[in-house]
Amino acid sequence: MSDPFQENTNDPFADHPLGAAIARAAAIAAGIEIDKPEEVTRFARMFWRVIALITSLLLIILLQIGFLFVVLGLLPAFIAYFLDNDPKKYLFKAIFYCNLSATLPYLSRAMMPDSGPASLELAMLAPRTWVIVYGSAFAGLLMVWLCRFLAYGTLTVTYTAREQFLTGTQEKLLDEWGTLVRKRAETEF
Amino acid sequence: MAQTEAAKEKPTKPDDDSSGPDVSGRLAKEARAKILAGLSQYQPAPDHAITRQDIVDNRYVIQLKQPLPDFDTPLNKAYAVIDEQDPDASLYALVCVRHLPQRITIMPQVRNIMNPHFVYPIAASVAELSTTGEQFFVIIFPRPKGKRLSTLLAEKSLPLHSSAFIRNNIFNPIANVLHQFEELGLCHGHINPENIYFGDGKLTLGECVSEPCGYSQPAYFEPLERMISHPAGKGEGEPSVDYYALGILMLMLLPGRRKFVSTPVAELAAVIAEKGSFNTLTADESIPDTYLDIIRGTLHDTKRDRWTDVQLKSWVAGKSFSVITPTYPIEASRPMHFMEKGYLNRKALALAMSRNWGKSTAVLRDGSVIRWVQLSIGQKEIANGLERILKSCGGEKSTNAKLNDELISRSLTMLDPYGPIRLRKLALHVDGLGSMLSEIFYHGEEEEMATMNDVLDFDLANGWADVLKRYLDVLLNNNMSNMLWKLDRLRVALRNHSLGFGIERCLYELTPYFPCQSPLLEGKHVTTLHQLLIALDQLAPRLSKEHDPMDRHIAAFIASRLNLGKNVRIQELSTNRALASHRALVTLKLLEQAQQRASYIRLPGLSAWMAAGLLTVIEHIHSRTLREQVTTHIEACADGGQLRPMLDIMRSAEYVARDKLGFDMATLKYRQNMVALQTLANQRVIKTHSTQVGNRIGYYLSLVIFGVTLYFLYLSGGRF
Repeated sequence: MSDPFQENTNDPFADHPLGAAIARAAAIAAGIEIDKPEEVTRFARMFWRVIALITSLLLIILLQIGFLFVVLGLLPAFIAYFLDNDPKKYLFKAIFYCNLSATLPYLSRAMMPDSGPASLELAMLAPRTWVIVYGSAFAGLLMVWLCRFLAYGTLTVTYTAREQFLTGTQEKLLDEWGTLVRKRAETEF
Repeated sequence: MAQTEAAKEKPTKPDDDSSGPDVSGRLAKEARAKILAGLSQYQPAPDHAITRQDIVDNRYVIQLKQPLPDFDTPLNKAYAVIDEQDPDASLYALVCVRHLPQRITIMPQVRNIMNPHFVYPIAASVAELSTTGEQFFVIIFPRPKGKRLSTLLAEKSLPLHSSAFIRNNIFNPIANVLHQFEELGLCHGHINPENIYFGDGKLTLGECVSEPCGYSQPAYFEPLERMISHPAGKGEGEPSVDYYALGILMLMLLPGRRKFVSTPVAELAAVIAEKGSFNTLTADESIPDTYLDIIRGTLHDTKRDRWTDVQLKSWVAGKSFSVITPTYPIEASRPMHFMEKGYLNRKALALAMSRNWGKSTAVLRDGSVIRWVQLSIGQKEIANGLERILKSCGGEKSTNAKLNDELISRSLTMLDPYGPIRLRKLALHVDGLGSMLSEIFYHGEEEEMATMNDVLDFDLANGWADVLKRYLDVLLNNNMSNMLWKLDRLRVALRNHSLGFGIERCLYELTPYFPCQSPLLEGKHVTTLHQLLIALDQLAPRLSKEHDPMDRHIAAFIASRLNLGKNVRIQELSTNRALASHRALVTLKLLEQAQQRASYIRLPGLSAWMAAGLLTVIEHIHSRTLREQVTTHIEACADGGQLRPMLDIMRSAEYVARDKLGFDMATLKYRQNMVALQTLANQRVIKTHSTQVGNRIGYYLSLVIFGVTLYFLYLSGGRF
């Protein structure tokens, strides 16, 4: 028989790898702010804005028409940035990288000495280019949705297992310590 | 009352709902059933103190088939006795009732009197009677010859016209015995024609030890202060009481109407208080001159003026005293009017006030009595004393019922300090407190019990002693001083309602040789811890299924014999209040201490009985595992006959601490798991979580795609 006096922990999620994530999800679901402090966020936002401005100026100088292509091509990513409320903006990042993966080959071709900006102008006039560029952004979005669906399925199974484990633990506690444990847990905390 | 108390005693249930799961309950029930099954097979060893039935002192065989009604007392039955060592001896046995104490403390002294004119006790012990199987205290006496004096008086067969006969054959032998009593400082307390035997020209004074002093003595044989007391509360009395009774006996022997015999006691007492004993009892009677001196001398109301052995001897020798006829005891110049009657002395007023308890408050609170004592009697000190009592009892305007009672009682003591302590319907002397309590317990009157409780609680005895010392310069003897000290201590015990204390404790402290009155011990005469433990061990197979081996009487009896001053608690378990003062554990500790005092006699029945009772305590342990462990240990100790190992297990602080810590931790864990389960059941949580995870995975995949793109761009030299 196991010693009933050895089993204890203060953190109900500490003994499970998904614990912290579940706690975070629970907090978010309950509308509890668990982000960084506001001052840190404001500083980071300002920092990235300055970086974006400098990068934009550099790109205007370097790419000229190519900058317009970049702005138009990455339009879905910019929209995603403003639509994504998640502090870590994973959705935006996923769309951005997919979008960029389709935009970069056109830019790199335009930057070849033998092609030049003219090739980019031609590409910009071709609808196929925009289908590819915007299609990649949409593919990024689809990929995230797909991942969410898969994650939902996997987590449902994990949650059920966890629930069964905790229910079993509760039964053991009741068996060892009696129903007063339940009454006290319900009333004294 | 004893039975009423017993009815209140019910098996204790755990204080909180700490019952464990069914498995544990079953375990305890199974263990209890097993222990009780073993106990039902137990054959207790016979009590070695009682080797044979109907035998006293291993020598005197009580002939239960030969009752001797001529020697019965109003309380006790008499039987013929055969002395196995001297079959020709003419003896009788008095089988004493269990509910009243005998005068065991004076028995060794009385035994030494060995006067041929006195029925002195030869032997005494507890005997088991074959008729009922019950135990009684039995006293063996030499059988006096002849008939009761009362019978002979009724038959008019004695030559009472002869003063020589009265003087030599009746008066002289009694005076002879009383002389010995006086030398010992004892009071016979039972001198009356019913307890005097006369035969073959020889008078024998009957016994005086089988009941509290003066319990069966007709009231008119007692001086006023004892006449107005409850029969059980008269106290030990002084030798002068016997001389008074002798005076009354003289009156009974003389021709006359003896109106006082048929006068109600209350009426007689009121007249005596007003006119004095001699004037009352001899009113309208013609007393021959020969006896005038002795009757006047012995019926004197003041103890110090009453005749004693010295005057009696001279009178017997023929000396004439010319005692002055006592006058009416008038103290006041003007009467104190109370209940439409005037009183001229404090004693009479006190008696009237005690008889009209409720009406007395007014005359005490408005100061009438104080003024009367000061102005009409001229006793300024007494008046000041009464004033002090009035102030200490709430002053003139108080209407508190308890304070009223205390005021009346203390004031009556101040007015009549030699009288009994009076409270409501109770009147008793301090040294009669023990026997009075036993009488009240026997009758079980709630009202009397409450009054007795107040007598002790108000500390009326010390108040009475204070009056005697302060106003009358009376020095109390050692016995009385010890009694007052004991009463002072008992007040604390009285207010304590725990096992081992309360009014029951007072009973056993005030009557040291009194048998335990527990209803569980019905039929047993238990006066020592050893006897108690043996009796409980014998009763275990019969009573263990429905009773605890403890009630308030047994607890008080043990606590009294062990002289316990503090509440019985298991100090080691003080962290768990419910357990530390749990009834079953307190019972175990009390019985264990008793067993320790009784040199650890082996008590398999009692230990099994106790073990079965202890299983209720186990419900207080939260942990099933610990419950199982403790149950196993207790089961193992059940038939060992020793209570110590069981107590050691139960008072082990380690298991209590482990249980408490474990229970707290388990509660916390349960709470945390409960919260976690609620979280897991929330669909919003799983959706939020899957969104987060999905977003992150999507992000990582997009990084991979971006990396692959860069790789191919690199491979193609930017022309991908």
